[in-house]
Amino acid sequence: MQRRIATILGICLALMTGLADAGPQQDIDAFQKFFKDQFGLTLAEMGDGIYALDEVRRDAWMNFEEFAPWEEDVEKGDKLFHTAFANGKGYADCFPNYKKGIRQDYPKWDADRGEVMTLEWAINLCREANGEKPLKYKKGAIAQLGAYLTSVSKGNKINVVIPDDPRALAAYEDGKRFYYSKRGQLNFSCANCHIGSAGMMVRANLLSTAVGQTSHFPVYRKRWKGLGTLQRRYGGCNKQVRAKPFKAQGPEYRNLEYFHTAMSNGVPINGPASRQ
Amino acid sequence: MRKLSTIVAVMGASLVVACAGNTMSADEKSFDASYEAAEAARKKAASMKFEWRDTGKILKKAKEAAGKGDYETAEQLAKKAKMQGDMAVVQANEQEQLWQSAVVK
Repeated sequence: MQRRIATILGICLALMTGLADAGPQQDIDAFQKFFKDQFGLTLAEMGDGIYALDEVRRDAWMNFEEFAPWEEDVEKGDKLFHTAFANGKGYADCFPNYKKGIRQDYPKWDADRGEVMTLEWAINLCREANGEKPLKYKKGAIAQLGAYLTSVSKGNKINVVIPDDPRALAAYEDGKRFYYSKRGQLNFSCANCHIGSAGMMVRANLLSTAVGQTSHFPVYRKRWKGLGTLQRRYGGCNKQVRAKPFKAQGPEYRNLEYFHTAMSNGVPINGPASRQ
Repeated sequence: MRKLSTIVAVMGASLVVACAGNTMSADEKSFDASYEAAEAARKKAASMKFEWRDTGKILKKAKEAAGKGDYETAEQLAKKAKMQGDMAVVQANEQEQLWQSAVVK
């Protein structure tokens, strides 16, 4: 009898704990179900962003991609990646699995540092470890290297892992809080635009679904007239709602990228690509 | 008699200059206090990671206006920046409680 009561109490406690603290996988499932229910799209289709939502824009985009403006950047990134450092070593020594594609695994948890590791930060750590100066994080060579590594990862499904480590879970939670917090003079959160208003217009622009947003970076944006990283875009989004942007690759945006990319787990990498 | 009127005129002029000097000083003091309060509000918002985009720029413009002696504009800008800093702190405190209610479940 006592054993039965203890078992029932144990199950109740487990259920209560689960309800109070939904883990990353429950978040991902709920997040993706929301968009699948609302738009009837597959994960792969969501990777096309607004071009999965609007046929006319999709046609224009497909035509634009015929002579993709980012192709030259991929070629430059390829060349940069295979150019040896002054010490004779190269990026391939830091990323031995690059040929199989590595973009889908980033950002990842770095247990030794106790921080979220993005691909762009890993590139710069590789450079510094080999006596090279770090690159600037928003555009230029870092975006070209990223474009090359994204291109060789094409088709691989995003697989961000949040290990059962309290520090990793805290970083994930920090990114989640950022995503859902309204900020800036316009009092908007990331979620306001890309969950609540996905598929709607903001001035002349169509708002994309949150799922699939990270699958194609770095992107060529018409507005930028060039290639830029995901964290460049974060800074732009923050400015648009009149919030002071954070430093690219600072803990705020790295944690945001951790949460944001995990929500797209299962979406195939389909970048680089062009966007409005 | 002429000497007396000269002395009175000089004393009068000195009084005007002194008063004008005091008025400027009062404006400057008032601006400095407003600027300090606005900068404190901005810093508090920044420490909560909720600083607004333009608060720092407004404070910079306020400083420039004060540098040109336009304390009226400078004061207005400092007050605007203070309002932004305060609102950002309110926003940060509100979101501390509210963000979870927006989570997709």
